[in-house]
Amino acid sequence: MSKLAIEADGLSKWYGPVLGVSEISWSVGGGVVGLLGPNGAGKSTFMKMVVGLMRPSRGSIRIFGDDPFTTTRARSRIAYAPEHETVYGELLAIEFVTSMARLSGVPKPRQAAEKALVEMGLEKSMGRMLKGFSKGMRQRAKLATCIVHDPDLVVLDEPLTGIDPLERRRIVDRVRQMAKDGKTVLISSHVLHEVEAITEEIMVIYRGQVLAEGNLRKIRTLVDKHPHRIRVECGEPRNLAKAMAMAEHIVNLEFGRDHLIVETESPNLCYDLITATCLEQKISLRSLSSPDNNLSALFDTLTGDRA
Amino acid sequence: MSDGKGTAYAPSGAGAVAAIAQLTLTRFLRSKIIFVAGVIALLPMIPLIVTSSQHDNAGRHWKEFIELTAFVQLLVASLLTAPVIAEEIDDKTYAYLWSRPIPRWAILAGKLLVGCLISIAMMSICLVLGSRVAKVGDPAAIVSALVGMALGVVTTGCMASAFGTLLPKHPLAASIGYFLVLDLGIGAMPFAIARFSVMHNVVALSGYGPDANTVVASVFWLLGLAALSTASTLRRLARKELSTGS
Repeated sequence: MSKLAIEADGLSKWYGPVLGVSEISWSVGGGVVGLLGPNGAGKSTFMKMVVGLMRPSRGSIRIFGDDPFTTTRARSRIAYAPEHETVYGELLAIEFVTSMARLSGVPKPRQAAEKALVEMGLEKSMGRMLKGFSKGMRQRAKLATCIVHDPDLVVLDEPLTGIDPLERRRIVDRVRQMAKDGKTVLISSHVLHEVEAITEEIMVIYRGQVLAEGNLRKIRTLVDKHPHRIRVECGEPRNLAKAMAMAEHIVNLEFGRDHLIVETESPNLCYDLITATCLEQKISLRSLSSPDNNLSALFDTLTGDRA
Repeated sequence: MSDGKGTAYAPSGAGAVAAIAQLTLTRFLRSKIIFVAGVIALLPMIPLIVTSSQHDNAGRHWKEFIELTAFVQLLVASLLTAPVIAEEIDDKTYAYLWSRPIPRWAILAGKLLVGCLISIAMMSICLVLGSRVAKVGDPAAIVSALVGMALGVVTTGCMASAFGTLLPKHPLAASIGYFLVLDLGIGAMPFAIARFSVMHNVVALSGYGPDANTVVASVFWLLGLAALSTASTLRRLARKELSTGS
């Protein structure tokens, strides 16, 4: 009998008196689903319950019909990449992925790890220690641990946060490929633009509650009222700001000693402009991230609309 | 529905323990802690070499050496076992292990296995070298010292990992603090209270101290302390929710 990948029924979680998530009843059978919400909305809590790192205070969660906290059967079909950057820095990339393959019971772990790292574009770096990896490379190494055991459900917590556009593209492509391969992918972000690049199916979570779910276009019009913010960590932010100031879609620019915060009405054009300008003016680009202020404003609007 | 598209592997219990042990060993071999533990393990050799060169009393030297070694094994085993679970929690790397299809006891078992085996190897080298310097002719004395030390390491490891999971922010301080203050203090107490001390039982198994002739009881107490602390750790791990934000 076919079972749903994720089935949450009245799922609630409290940390003492603090609410993590509240009364989530939701299910997904396949495809890529974006879990969207500002920082602290309850996305990570929900994901940790999905992968069996936490158990619900109330309600239940089933992964392919099994409880992921108490049974290993459910976890044998899950892959999880946590939000934090921490990896075993003293391990080589190949050792890290091989260890995870071994822990998942993969018959030929070394070969499977090599294949996963090649798929993630890390074939030249598999013999390097993880502590020497960039943030994007670490994310890709984490993703390699997610595909090494051919799971049915892949849970990715903020995989695109703080990485450069090239790495972002690689990860997005790989996530799309996972979906084509028939995996169910749950991917979280506090940036609508990031999720939009991967899927149109979303669940919007805010203050532990599901605000909206379904097709992304439903809330797109609301989002467009709020400018998108991009934090650019780079050398010479003043020069970058000067070059970008003339673009029509730029609403506001703020810069510090080593960063620039851009507000734009067109995120796609803005990302292209940032990379093109950095290349043209030879400005070193360390990372791009999106503070969730605009999304918080959106959620306030949505909450207000509901009230 | 995506049911049944993947392969759904899962390792056996022994396979999971072996995988955790291999991962732990690789990390240990690249860390400084193993060198620190190695240096500490050889510390009892210094007073033995000094006293052996000054006085010719092999029996007394060996006894003092055994007592010091029993104390040092508490430190070495603590160093190599107390942080093994705690650091996974503190560094948030637990997410990689806990989300895999392995039982949580296997994580503890794999990590303890490596920590204890390395500790036993280090302390065994120290004991064998010490027996040469002290000119111990009786192989039975060396064997009983080795058995006592090995059991002591296992018990210390089990207790240290329990302290580590209880206080994951300060695993070493909790473990070494306990053994330095309480274990030594308990061992100096009269009657059966002293039996709660790991060091007391290790010395007894080596044939010294007030309980030198009660080998079975010493083994019983050491295994009992190990079992109790392991049960406590497993219970805590089974219920442990890794709830801190990412």
